[in-house]
Amino acid sequence: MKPFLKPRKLFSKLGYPPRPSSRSRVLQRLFGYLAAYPAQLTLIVLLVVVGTIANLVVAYLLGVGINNLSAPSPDLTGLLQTVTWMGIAGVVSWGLLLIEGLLLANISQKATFQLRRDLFEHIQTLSLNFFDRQPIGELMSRVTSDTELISQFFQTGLNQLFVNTARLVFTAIAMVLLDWRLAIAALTIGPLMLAFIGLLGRVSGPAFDQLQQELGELNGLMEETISGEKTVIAYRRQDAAVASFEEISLASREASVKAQFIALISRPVTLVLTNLDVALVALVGGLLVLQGATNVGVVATFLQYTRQLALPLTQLSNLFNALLAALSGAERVFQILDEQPAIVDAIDAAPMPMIQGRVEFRQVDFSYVQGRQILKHNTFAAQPGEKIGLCGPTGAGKSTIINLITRYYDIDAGEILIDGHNITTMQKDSLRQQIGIVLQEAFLFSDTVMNNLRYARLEATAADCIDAAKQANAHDFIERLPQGYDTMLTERGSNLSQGQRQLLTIARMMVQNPRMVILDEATSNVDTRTEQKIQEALDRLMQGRTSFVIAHRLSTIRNANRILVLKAGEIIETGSHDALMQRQGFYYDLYMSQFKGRVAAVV
Amino acid sequence: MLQNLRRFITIYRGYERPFWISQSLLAIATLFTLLIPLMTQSLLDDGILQEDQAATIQSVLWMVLFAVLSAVFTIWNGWYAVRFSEHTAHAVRMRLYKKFQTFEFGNLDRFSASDLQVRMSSDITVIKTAVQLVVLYLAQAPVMFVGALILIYLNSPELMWILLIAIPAILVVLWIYIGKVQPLFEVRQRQLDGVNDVMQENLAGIRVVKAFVRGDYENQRFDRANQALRQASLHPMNYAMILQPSLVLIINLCTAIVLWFGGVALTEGVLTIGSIVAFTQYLGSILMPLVILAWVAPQFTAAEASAERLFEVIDTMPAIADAPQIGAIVPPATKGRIVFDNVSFHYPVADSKNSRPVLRNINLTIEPGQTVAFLGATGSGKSTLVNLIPRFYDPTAGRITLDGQDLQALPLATLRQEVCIALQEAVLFSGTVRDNLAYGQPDATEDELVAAAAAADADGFVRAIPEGYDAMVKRRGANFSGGQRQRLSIGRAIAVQPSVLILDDSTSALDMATEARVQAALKAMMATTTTLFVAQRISTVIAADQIFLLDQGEIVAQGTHDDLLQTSAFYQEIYQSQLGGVPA
Repeated sequence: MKPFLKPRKLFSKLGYPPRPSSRSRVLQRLFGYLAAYPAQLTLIVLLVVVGTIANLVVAYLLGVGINNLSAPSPDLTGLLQTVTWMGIAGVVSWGLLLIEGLLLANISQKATFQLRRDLFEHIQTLSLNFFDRQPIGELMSRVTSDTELISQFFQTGLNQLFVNTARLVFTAIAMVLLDWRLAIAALTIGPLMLAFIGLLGRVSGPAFDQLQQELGELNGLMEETISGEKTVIAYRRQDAAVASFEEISLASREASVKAQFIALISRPVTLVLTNLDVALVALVGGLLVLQGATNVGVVATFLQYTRQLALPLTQLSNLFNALLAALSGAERVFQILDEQPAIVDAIDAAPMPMIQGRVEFRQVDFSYVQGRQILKHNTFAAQPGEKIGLCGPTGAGKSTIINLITRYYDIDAGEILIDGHNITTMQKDSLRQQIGIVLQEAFLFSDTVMNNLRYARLEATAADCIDAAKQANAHDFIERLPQGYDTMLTERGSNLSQGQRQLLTIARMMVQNPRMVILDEATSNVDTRTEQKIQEALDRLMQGRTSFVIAHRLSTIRNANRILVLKAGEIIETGSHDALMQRQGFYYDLYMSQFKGRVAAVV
Repeated sequence: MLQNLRRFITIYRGYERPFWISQSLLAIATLFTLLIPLMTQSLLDDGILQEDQAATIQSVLWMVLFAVLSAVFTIWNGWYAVRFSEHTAHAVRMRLYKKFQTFEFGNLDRFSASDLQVRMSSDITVIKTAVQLVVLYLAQAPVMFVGALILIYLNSPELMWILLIAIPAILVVLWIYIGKVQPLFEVRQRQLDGVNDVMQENLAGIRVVKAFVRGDYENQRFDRANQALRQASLHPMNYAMILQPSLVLIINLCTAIVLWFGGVALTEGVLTIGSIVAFTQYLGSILMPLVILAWVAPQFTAAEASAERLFEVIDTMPAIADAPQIGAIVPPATKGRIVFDNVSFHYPVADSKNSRPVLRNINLTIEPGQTVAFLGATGSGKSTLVNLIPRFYDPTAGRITLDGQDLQALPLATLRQEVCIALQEAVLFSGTVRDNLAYGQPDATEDELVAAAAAADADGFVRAIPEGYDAMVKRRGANFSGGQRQRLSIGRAIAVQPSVLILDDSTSALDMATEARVQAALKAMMATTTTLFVAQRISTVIAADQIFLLDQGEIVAQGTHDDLLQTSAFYQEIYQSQLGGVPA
């Protein structure tokens, strides 16, 4: 059996996001979230500095003590004093760094909180074209995993970064102050480390890119087969699925071994460099003491300092990877934050007054993607209270028209007027609040039935909601649910049928009490019996309100005041059902074809 | 403790040898590290203080040698650690995926797709990291402790008691930390899930949010979850912030104590300066593995939780399986006669109150070559009924036979070859259009595929794409419309050329003209095939040889369209609502 997918090829075709263009810009912006707390940040820096110096004093005093002891007649009273000061310095350092850590924890959590909030609130402002561009699932996993990467860095990495940087800097300063010759020996490690990290970065960059790519393919295939597993079962293609999965899993394993190993080398190499440095210090120090140019105590202090460099250096080199991960996460988050909403209110936009329901399209052109025109010169008018049916083949532009009435997208040319107001001059929220929409896909939140109904109008009372449910013919089945209106709806909606879910979305719209109604294939996923109930409810709702109804089943729109027949983005026929039937045009064909079987059966 | 995690390591077959090798390498690396302070001691005592230049240089050279050897062995161990953990991850992933591929519909109903996806990616990563940490660090701490104790016992036994205080002190601090912090991390994880739930639900329902202009409300909802997460994150973080300075404090205080008691011992002539300095270096050395321990401990609890979730999948048994003696039975040549004999079914639900029957006492006979339609309200059980025929579920009572043979006595592979279903949800896979059509019949010829596509009214739009049958289908068929996906999915089923073809509401997104064309083509092409339709539209079922009308899990009427128009009030009602008032 040949494998049914060639995902390796496919994914490389689709391409991957570009490499970070400028890491430092992202870094700056990320730290901007901390800089919102300047007082705490200053205090933190101060505490780190003093706490680190106090810690260095301990090692310095050790040298003093050693010097004392290496004298021909050691002075025990002096030694006791030195030891006491060591203890004091140790406790002071502990206290200061502890306070610093707690402060930093506090502000870094605030920063993460703010970043998450910014991201979420920004996403709420984005227009539908943003969500059209990428599968929602992909966006979800990106948003959740990227924010967590940043959060992890803030949580564990940031303090390490502060403390270890301070330790490195002040150890170096202390060394220079103590003995510049030994300091030169000890600090040779600096350039060596830098060179090494640079080298590693050059090798690890491509290795990690490769890994990212393999992981992308792995997750892509996984997502595809998991969500389509019922089809895999129905066609008995489990073995083929396992075979192609194994291929990709192996490839990702090999890429991962390579990348992880490169990342791992940094730790032992840092250690060996430190140890070599200790040896160098010992050698230079030993020779200097032998020449009488310095004393044993200084050498002991230096050995301690050099050794203490190992910890911050390893931790910093470990941090480097976490930082890179956080930065690439941050870059993607900032990309979303930089996304401009396509639909924005004009500065002088006025709130939409109570809609009477006159809707007018004048020569409207529209395309989702530039160059691929969807609607061409659409012109029509709906009078208040009219029911307008929209029909035509798939892709003719029916759903597009209603997406434009609610201003989910802006048009390329022409005008859309509601009650004589050009909708681009009105506040979009005040417009949308007055329009009720029921989509084919009945989306409900995992919350109680009552809260789902109230979603449409937060100030609605329980009585309002129950009333709406009765209007929508939903009350009876809600009452039969285990906890009635307090029943929790599950995310996958397994406790309700498709039709019941749709009834709830209609009840929800009844709570909203909109001035205009839009139904986009609202009943096409619903069986006939439920549809009758829904239709009844909808007729009640549409009473006196301008409504737009899209339906495959032409019987649904037969009683519309006017039917717009669309084909390839153009309104090719318009009129009442009877008028259109008499005309014997496209609509007539469409309508008759639905009953071919029936005519045959009767004959 | 960590039983689930340990169970995982055994999945990576042949794990023992590389594991012991890696730990030996790590032990050797650690020993070399331990020898370095010893050389410091000889540098001070034999070299500098004796003013012996040769001894000074010699000690330094030893130091260099030990440092390099330690690094070599550490890197060597690192290579093992990475390979070991990656191989384990791959093995676990394959184990999981293979298990997943044995799943039946009943199993899939229990795990949601996103849940499985998380288990197969994030949970495996968590385990991989934990396994890597084990291999990287396991042997280090004990070797370091024991080694340091031995070396100190040999060199400066007078000061050994300080280590005997310092090590337990550090262990106690770590013990408290790990004990306190673990549950806090779990709380944080729950709050993180909460934040992600809000985010995901918001994105999934973004159209509804926008339609009702509920951005502010959503922001508030998110803020609550986000606040809770902030609090929950702060608690474990605070403990972590206390830990590190406290460990340093213990080391610093010990250094001071060593200096004092070492100094006193030195004046008494029992100790040398070199041994005091070496001792302080050992204090630093044992701190390292302990800091690492504090850092990895939380990852183990996380890994244990992940392991448990993975085993939940691995330990799941397929809901449907061939009977053990199945190989012995030679299935009869299938013609496509289906009989339901008093069949009842209910989905298994944990809450038994909810498990009301979906199908009740179904009796029906479908003759070979017939076209049969199932009509009924949502939830009436029609989709469940046809799902019993390829044995996606087994009936809870009664039996179903195909050409006289009980379904459960047929090998699953044979049964599903003969019974092909176009599912309600038309899922396409990434690949070409041709790959998708040939999905159920990989060795189908080009002509067969084109004929199948034509019968499903898909040939026309496929040819309209510049690449035709070589056009790429994106994941889940995202670049095709709902109607096109349905037609390709029907074409895919036709290409299998089954004895029994089931279309489970798979023409719902087609307009009626297209649907009529598909039905006519099917009839012409598959005259000998038993064809079953599940439908909600009368127009879909009008021409069927038999129509079964279902209501609440029972067959309430059956017959042809004309029969039913005469006999069934229910059917008339549906007919009127859908087609009433058509000019005759």
